[in-house]
Amino acid sequence: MTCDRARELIPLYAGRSLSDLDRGDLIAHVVGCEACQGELVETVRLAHELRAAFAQLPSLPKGTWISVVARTLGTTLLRVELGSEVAGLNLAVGTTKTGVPIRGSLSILGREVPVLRI
Amino acid sequence: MDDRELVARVARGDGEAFRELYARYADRVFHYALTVLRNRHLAEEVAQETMVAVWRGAGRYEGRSQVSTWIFGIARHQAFHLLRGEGKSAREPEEREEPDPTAGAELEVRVRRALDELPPDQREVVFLAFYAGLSYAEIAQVQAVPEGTVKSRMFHAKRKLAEVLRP
Ligand SMILES: [Zn+2]
Repeated sequence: MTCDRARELIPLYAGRSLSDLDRGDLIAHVVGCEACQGELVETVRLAHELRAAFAQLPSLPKGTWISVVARTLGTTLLRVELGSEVAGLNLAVGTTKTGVPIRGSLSILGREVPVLRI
Repeated sequence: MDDRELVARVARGDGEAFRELYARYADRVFHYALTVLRNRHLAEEVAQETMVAVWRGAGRYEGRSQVSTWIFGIARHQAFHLLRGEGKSAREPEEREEPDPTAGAELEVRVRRALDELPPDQREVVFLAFYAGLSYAEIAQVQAVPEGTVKSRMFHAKRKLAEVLRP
């Protein structure tokens, strides 16, 4: 393996996407090449730092799943029922291609009162 | 269960499989969009549109590429669709969100700043190679460019990051 080829493969080694075959060839080269050893150590360190920085990115808000469900699986999976026997809130989310209509009703002592159009 | 089997089940309308695929990919897609767009609101929209497109398009996934490559490719398409102002959101400028000083060590803040200095295409290559673990061939598919272009972007990105981080 040439140093140029090794330099190409080193980032993939650091990103853990190198095939077993290429990894074996790369290591065989690096063992005998001081310049590529330095490059490997530096790139592995950089990859580690980058992963740590990317891992700090925020998580997707939980509400996104509800919006996605509303547009895909539909109402069957999304019936949110909150409340007690006396009063409960029922939200039904419909599926359309243009939007996410959410309607709800408040039930008080068994009587359904539509209250929401979000 | 592997990703391909999940997609096959999603294609048959399996809600549980979709929930699992969402759990595996939604955050990664969001992070990818955030890295490319640097706008949290748009990145959330990209993540949502991508996962909906995965549900609708699962039947057309032929298994010729990795599931991750396929999903990141959809996300990229959605991101540029939004940037061109064809989506429901108007064009929004990049946000230079100052990192929360309490979140992460000083080094991580410096790494994020160094990433900000890279051109978007290079930042994307760095994300896909080091964080998402894609190969050059897979990144080339996502970015729709020749593999040589990806290697060149990686070369320049690494050099610039080293200059900023190890002066
Ligand atoms: Zn060498």
